[in-house]
Amino acid sequence: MRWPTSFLNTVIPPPVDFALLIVNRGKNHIAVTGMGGCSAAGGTVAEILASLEKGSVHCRPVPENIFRTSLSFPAFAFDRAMPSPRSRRLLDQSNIAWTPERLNRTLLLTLEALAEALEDAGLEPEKLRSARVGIALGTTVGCTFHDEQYYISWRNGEKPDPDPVFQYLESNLAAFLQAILGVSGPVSVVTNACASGTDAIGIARGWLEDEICDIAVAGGADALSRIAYYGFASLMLLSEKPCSPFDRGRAGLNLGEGAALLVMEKRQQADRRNARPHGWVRGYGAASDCYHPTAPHPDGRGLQSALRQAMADAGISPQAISYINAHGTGTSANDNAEMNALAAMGFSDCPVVSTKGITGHMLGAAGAMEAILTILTLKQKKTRGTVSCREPDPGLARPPMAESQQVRLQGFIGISQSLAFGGTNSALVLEAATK
Amino acid sequence: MIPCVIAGIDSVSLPIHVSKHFAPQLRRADEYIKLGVAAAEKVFTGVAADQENNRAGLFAGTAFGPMQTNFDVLGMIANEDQTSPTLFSHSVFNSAAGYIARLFGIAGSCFSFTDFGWPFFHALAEGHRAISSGRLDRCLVLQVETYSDLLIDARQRTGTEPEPWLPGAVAWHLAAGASGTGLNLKNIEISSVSAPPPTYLHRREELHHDQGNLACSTPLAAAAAITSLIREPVGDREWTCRLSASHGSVILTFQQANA
Repeated sequence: MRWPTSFLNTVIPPPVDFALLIVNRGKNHIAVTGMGGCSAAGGTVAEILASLEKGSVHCRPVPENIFRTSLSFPAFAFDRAMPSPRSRRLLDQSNIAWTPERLNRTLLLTLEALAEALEDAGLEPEKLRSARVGIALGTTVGCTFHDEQYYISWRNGEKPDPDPVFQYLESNLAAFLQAILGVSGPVSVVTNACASGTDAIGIARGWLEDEICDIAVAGGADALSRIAYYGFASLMLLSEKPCSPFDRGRAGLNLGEGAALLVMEKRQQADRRNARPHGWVRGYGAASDCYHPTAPHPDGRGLQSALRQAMADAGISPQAISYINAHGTGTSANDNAEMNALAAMGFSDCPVVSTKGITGHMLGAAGAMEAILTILTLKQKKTRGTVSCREPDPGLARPPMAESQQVRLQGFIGISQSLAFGGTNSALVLEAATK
Repeated sequence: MIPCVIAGIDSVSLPIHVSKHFAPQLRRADEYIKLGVAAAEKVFTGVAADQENNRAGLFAGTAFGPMQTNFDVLGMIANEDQTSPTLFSHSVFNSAAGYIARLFGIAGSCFSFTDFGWPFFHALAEGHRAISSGRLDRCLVLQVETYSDLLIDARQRTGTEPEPWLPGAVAWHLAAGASGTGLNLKNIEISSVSAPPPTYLHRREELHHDQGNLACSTPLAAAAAITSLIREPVGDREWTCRLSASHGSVILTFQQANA
């Protein structure tokens, strides 16, 4: 007997008594001891946080050095030269022969974040070689072969030098980082579309809990690409102006690029080497909408399930949550679904913010960047509203924080959540370290 | 640790057969999605449904994903044609997982992974962990490969061809089981090491098991070979098989227990 299709209609459970759900498999909180990131909002985590505080929006036409387009949708491009001196040092320390032209843009962005995250964690690459290091990274663009020149030449019946194919085969993000660092341990490249970065952190957390690695590097990376740009345009999801998540006049998303990586380790491991955690990954949940290839379920059905799992994993109830970093892309369907889910879950008073107004939608890197910004925001005990959300949509099931608002947070625990093509939803419960 | 029972195994190739029930919903789907759905349908044959579908998950691995669809989109962009939104949404690597989750009501965690070396086994390892830790009651683990003409051309121009790469999929259904019943996947260990790029185009993987050795030279071959191997019951005992290649190794430990 095949699984009956009526099965599809039985997903939404009755209202949940969270006390019954508190199973807390996360007996060991997983420490975040290093963070690194780059995006249009800055070349380091500190710069990105400063851009968020100032509300700086670096959204502009796609630079020609990334790709040419006749379309007018702006994007959030990283405008620094790569590799930076810091990531060049990392490359030079490795045992692999490299030249900048053999590294694609997604790899270069990843290296920027990796170099900063390791430095922040106080970890020298050579010291990592004696540990079991897990590497879990999310991407969407980074796993595709998109050498347009090669493709066109091949399509025209020529026999181009196959080197670009070899470069592609060298560009698996996790395998590349493993080779650069010269480490061994579990590796994974998660391709769950826009939830990839969040899921990579969730997977790494599981590895650490199951003790199959001592330290994990997790996050995501994606460069701007013509395929994603034209694809999102064809779906009529791109905005011609800087995106304004949750705003009454929101007109879609802007693509962004960048990378965000977290160094994660068990509390005991962090204590042993006197590392000072930024915070903790307390819980993780993931669930599917079972609804549509690209659109979220209108009630955020899968998101609700992911949130329930993440809070059960963390052993907390919605009342413990002081801040929610929403996926908040600025599309009508996403923003409605998220707010419907949060309202149904009882998050009535908790501040809800989207940070995509300063980063754009970084696809596979989005969830990891937002996890970092969640921890930093919780650490500061205050948050500003959603950049470019000047007039919150009154049709949303619950209000977001508008750009002009600022609040003090009531606690140190928050949520970062992601929704993706394919009906994937995932959520992290994060806690900022208080000292 | 909860025993991880292999409740079903199967593989599919071209031509693709899906039931009439699913055919209308796959009208616009590409080969990558159809192969994934066909494999899922085959491996779920005979599976009784329960109501806890958010305790069901999916772990999909692939080396090359929907590569041809990706090139179809790239072709439209290069030609400055209108990009097809359907084709674009099918070009993302989790397209098959999204369809399968929707069609089979898999409302728990759904993951897609990409790895040039051991895509099926990375997915299997995560599925095994999810069952063993109690996070899921059942899950589908699969590998789908469709390749592309561009990739096949690069392969032909850079080496000799012992075996053609043909599209296909391999699927396993894992379930939390009572101790001492069925075929259990006891353990899986993966070691991935960086290897020269041609290694992934001209694969030389060896499957070692107690009945002999087998050479595997396509990205799906190792998963298909182990699937064939475990079709035959081997008695009430624990046994291992080992895959080795220049890009690493995989060790699988099974336990066959009679109910």
